[in-house]
Amino acid sequence: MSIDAVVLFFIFGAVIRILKVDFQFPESLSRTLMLILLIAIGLKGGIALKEHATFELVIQGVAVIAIGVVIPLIAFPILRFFGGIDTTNSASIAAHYGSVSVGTFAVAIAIIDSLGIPYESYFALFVVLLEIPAIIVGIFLAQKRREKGELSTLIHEMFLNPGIVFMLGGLIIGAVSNDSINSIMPLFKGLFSGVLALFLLEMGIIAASRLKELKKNGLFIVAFSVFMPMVGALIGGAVGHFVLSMSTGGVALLAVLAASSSYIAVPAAMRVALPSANHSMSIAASLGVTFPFNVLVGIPIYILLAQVLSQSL
Amino acid sequence: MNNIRQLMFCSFVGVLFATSGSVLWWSGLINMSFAAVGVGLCVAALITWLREPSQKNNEKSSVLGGAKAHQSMGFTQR
Repeated sequence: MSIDAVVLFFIFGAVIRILKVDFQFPESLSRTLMLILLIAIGLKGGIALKEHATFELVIQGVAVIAIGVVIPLIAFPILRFFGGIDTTNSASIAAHYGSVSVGTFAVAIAIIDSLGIPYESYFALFVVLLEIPAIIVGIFLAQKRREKGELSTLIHEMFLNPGIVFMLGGLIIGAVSNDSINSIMPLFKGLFSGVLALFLLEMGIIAASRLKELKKNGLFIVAFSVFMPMVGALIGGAVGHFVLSMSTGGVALLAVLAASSSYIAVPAAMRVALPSANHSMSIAASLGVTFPFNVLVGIPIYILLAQVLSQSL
Repeated sequence: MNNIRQLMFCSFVGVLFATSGSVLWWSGLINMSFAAVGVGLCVAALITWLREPSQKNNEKSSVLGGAKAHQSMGFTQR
């Protein structure tokens, strides 16, 4: 049995936490790793966008936004009917699952690259597009009346959170820059896997520490947190193959994006939009269960799904 | 577990993952981790159900209550 090296770093992080090793990941390093990953993904997408700026991309963007709207609408009734979870918390969790995880996307990119599967390299644009619709749907589902001051904070969190800003910044720089960009690529491209490995080490530590927060509704949340990624992957894979006619790698990446759940942008937005929601439960589900599930189990299945779809037609 | 629907959902996801994961594993397409998640969920759901006497008592009392109501409505077997 062979496991991807970067994925092993995630397991290593979880083991460090379980063994209660006296280690705190330096916060400044954590932010630096995240910054490099976001800009690297953005730059890669921007460089590709320069070559593929067509009307077809607009259609693909609309389809990707539609995925971000549909997934929370599926997650919400499951949480309400089967979970018996109140409206606010159901809306908050549903919003997490409609959005995306940059970490999961980065792992998928690393694995797909290592397998040599071709994909549409402007996917970073879709990561940015998928961050926002689920937040709006989540607020709509919660049916909360909002004050003007809160709304401006919420809009700021939605469109100007660090995740979106740095990835979008990288995307624009990659799209408009000349050949001089090659001089900075050793940092953002050459060191990508190493940075990702350290990022996953930290994620493993955090994910293992979040599991204890799943006491209430624990088993249901665990079942939901592994079920929704599969639903999302099927929707993403189907849209990627049947609607957008993407390459095998593109279908796999769209499945990964639809399967992943946010643990950075949406929690920040939900704290502002739905302050009464139990945020630790949604982050525990997203980061403690769905992220490890996608990294350890899901991604190979989504790649298999894409390969099966590509061979079927 | 407070809700029988939660238990039903967990069992459904567990069985779905265990069966589809096993088929894919036997076919040599994926490793056994996916099926293991399903089996783990099924086992956890079963343990939760067995450890929840109040849940079963509630169900039992509701069944008895239903039977009593059935009798009170004149449907008693003679």
